[in-house]
Amino acid sequence: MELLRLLPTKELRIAAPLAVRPHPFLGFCLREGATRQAGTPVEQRIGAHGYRGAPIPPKSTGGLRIVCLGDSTMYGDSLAEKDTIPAKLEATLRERLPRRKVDVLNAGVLQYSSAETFAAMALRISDLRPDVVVIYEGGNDVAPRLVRPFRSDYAHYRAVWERDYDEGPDRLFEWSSFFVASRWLIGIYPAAQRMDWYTVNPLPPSTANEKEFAFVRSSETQFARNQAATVALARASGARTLLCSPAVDRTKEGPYSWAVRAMDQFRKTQPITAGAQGGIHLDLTEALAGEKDAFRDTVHLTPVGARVVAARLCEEIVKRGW
Amino acid sequence: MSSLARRRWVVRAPSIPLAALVLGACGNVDPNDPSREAFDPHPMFRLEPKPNLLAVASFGPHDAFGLRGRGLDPGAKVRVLMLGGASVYGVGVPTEQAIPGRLATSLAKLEPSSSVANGGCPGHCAAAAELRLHLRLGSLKPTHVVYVLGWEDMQVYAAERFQSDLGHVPRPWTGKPWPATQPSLAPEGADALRRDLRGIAVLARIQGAKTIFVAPQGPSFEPLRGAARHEAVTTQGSWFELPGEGEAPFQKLALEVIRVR
Repeated sequence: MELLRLLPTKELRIAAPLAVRPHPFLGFCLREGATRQAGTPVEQRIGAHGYRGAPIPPKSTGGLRIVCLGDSTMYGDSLAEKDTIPAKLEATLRERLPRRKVDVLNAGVLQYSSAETFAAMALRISDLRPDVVVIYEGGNDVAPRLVRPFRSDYAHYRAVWERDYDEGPDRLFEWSSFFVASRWLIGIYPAAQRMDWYTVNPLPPSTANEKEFAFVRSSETQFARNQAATVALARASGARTLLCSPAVDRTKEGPYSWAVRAMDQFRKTQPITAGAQGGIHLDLTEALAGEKDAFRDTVHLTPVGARVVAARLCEEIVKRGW
Repeated sequence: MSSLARRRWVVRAPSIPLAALVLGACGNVDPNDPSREAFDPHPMFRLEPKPNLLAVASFGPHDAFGLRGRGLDPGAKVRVLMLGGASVYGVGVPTEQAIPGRLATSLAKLEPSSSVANGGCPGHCAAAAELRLHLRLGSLKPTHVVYVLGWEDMQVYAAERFQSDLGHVPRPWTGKPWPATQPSLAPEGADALRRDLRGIAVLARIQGAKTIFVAPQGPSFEPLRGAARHEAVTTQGSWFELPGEGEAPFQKLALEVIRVR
């Protein structure tokens, strides 16, 4: 019992809530009320509406409602709230269109691939009746291509989240130091720090050659299909769509890395996808090409990169008179 | 209670929460559920028929896409992909006696070059069928997608504590009960059902297929018929009421398939 008193159980408890939770049809989604990187300048709070940032108010006549879909780059992983692409887009648009009521929802979710984005469009976003849907993704469609045998629904890669460790009965005993310490020792709380533990299938270790083989045998087809379906659903709900080609930093992992090669393949499919489904394609590579310090790593943006992307999106929306 | 026994309880008490945790985790598993041999849990649409399964009890066989029976013949002129829940899959009946099998028999008399695939899965509502149609069956290129509304749709869209993103639906085999079903759809449930039927029509159109919604008869399914009728009109699809018993309804449905070619 003396040993239990020495354990930092308070800190263990604080670290516990995972930023995502299981969902029967989306695979997983952001956990309402969760906080990531708490107490740091880049603290991320998930609202009661299940997304980062403020919820969008009820739709007003003549207003402009924009929903930004995507992965951790759109979500703004390791960025302060004001530095994310949707927050900057909202601020810039409000300056440019002072007479219109502009609301931008950050619907980016950590680890979402094009498959989860498609499901979110189908079950969540179309209900919001957005005027414009911005899609910026691709980073999480690379890893499923490094695993064989490839399946079009990514079920070879995505885990079935059978049990959430953070349900009501689990919280019931958190007053007990012994309970918290036991969960820490059997690995529940440390696992909670790693989203992969829940969202990705336990994969056997594979060599770089095996991954290269899997990558070469797979193609960008499923990514293109998922994006086509997402754009088609957005159009069916009455929204205009901006399908963005994600930019990558070729210097971080080298020009022949899987991420860079996959993104190059994705970029080629997007004008065709947007054209076929009635969306607008926007390549952000050129906008970020001359910008120093735009990337934190190969795909994630710094505040500078997010500002450039938001400015380019704003320019396109204003130019088209949306 | 002696002081020794009291001391033992003090020592043992903290292990109660841990035991509860372990029992709680074990309680989620029902090893006697026979469907576990024929179905896999899926991260996006809850359950899917196990691919490449030979017949197990009254389930299967399944092809590589998890379609019951022989799957979809890519060379056929009329290729019908039938989606739905347990009634389409045909739980407890042979493959030929399930709805798609009976439609195949009727359709073959009108169009010899035809194929009907059984894309049913017990527990699948319109949203699950929508996600499966795109994510798993997106490469099949059917000429028709037929979605048969069923009891699962009532369970999901007329549930108490309904959430529009269907987050109220329990994940498979977690041991959690389904929420109680109300006799009719609340407005938000009806909106969500129409949204998901529209999604099926949109995704079918991407694959170059026409959509037919089939609603069952009976007063308890009237809300489903209303949604099917509405979305058939707005998506320029077609809707059909599956009436009565015997072969006649399948002959009518086969005629409808030929009509909307």
